[in-house]
Amino acid sequence: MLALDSRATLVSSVTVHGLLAPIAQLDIDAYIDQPVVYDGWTATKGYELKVFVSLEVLRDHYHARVNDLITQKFLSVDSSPPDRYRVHCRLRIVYPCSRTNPQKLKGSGKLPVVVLVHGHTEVLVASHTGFTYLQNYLASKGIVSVSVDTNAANAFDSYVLMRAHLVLGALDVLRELAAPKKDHPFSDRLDFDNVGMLGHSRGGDAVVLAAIMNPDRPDDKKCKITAVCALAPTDLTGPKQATGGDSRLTNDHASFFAVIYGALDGDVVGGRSDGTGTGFRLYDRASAQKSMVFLDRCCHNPFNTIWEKNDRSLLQSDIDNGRVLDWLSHHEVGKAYIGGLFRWRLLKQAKARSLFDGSAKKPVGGPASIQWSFGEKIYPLDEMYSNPVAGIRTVPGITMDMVSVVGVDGTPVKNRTNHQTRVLVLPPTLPATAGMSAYKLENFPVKDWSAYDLFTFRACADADVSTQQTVNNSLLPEFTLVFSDGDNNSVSVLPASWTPQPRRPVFHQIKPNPDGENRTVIRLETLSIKLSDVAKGGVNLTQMASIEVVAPANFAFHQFLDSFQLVKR
Amino acid sequence: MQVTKATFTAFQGTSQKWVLRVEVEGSDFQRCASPVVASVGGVPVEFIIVNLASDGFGGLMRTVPPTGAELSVGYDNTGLDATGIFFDPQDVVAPTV
Repeated sequence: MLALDSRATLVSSVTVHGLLAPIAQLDIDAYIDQPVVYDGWTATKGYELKVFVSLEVLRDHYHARVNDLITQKFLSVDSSPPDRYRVHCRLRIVYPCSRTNPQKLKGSGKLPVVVLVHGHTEVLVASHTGFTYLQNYLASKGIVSVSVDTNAANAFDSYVLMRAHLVLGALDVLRELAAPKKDHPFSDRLDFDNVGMLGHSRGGDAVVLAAIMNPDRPDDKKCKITAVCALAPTDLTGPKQATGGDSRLTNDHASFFAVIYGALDGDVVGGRSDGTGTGFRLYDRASAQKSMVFLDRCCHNPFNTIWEKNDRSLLQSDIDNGRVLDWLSHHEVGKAYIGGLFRWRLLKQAKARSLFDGSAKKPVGGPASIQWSFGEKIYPLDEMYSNPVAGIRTVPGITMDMVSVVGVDGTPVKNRTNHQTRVLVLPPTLPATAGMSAYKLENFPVKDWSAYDLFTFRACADADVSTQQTVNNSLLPEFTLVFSDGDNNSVSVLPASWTPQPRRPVFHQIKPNPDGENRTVIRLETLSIKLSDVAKGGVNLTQMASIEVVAPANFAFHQFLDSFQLVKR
Repeated sequence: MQVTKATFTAFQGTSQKWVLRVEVEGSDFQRCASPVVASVGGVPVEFIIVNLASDGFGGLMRTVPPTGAELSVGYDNTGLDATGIFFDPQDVVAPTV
């Protein structure tokens, strides 16, 4: 049920990378049909979804507020059945157009589609227009995009579900416009088997949920989702406690999942375990091919040009001394990472791939800590769940969860990390255990590793993060990985051979009290070892027998390891 | 955020699980990524909706807090702050229809 009042407006042609690329913009007013839902939150219980049997029951709970939302036209109940309402949703569509006729899409074939959704902010702000810079970039590369207004969800203070419905509803609007034999420039020109999704903040949570909901939709509304990107996302719907193996976003939902998140984010603030979840949890729980880029110098608001130029809780000193990137630089980061992701995954232009596995020589926006798990072929060996994915694990006296670990500052490490995963915990090295094997994996079914390029793992070390100075002085992870073949040939790989080299945490304070509140995150990074180097050490890659982790001598802090995988790029 | 007043109203509706509605007044209730959270003593305020004008919020409670319980309000990622407003069952107002 759509009420379309559309107008086509040609945006002035823009120059992108020196080429004149005509781009057109279409703004649409839509009402998107939804069940009557409200998803709420409490400090003690976290996320709670409530589906109301009718709008009247919702009114029963929220009388005046619901009426306000109708009066202000965020909701409409005209001609809706009692258990549904229509949600007002403005859509900004940007597309590459013909040089001579802005009403026509460029070229003749089907074009991929990206849907973008903003996050939670004041309800009178046209947040959906804040990604036009990204939409223009995508259009210049041949991608049609629609940015979705979810201010109705903001007015409702809804968390995720209404936003996810609006994302899918926006795709339905596009599908209607693109219906074959219809007199519309999009007719039969949009490729719903090649769809990308971008969500910012609570919208990041919502696109994950929308991708999860997509396979259960009717066949004529289902899309094939090629890439989901969560930008500075919340994780409101995930469980508060890590259980291990509770995967959410899988390859059945999306071919690729990316999280892009600033280490100086002043809204979705990390560094506390009991607050709103962040992209780390979304990444940990996803089993799709994936990457998470944690950018040292990015914050939250500037990715949307309509929002405030800085995050309210940023320290003024971080702004004044240029520690946080300026507004325009955030847009360049957005174009490089988000635009690059969709070019890579939707248009098969792999230039940006190196941004997502840490191999880029000079990444836009400066340094980042990256976790990743993707490639032509992945063989997971051990995700540190109760049992390894493959083989038999021996961990003499080692804990597999960081929840119980007391960190170097005397507080639980879980207070400093936003992960939601089980890990191998290497305790501080005692003289008696120095040089001993702390972990061994053997008897894995796939002994021939010659078809893979890399052994990858996630690792980090605990650190004293109380000041910038203590962070600077913190130790980088240090242990030895020993690879052995069936003929007892072994090679020990030292940290100097890891790629990339591990990095220290990014010191992060926010405003709440005059001295700033420390919210530095201790996070895992994905590191890799070339299997060709293992072979050069005399180990036969076709007859692999075991991997061991050997504790270093005199390492004062806990270290955490996870996600042992083989990767063919 | 600044909290200046809280009004507790007996819940009147078909749902059996709510007993109180609370309307909190004040200023600068930001709509940001992290949810607004509140509790009165140990009783959480649930299904909070911030006013369109960001000058307060409303929520529901399943149980009546103990007399003298303090209202605490904050954002989920920064925690609850005491408001200096205390619950008194004698102040609970009857619902208006």
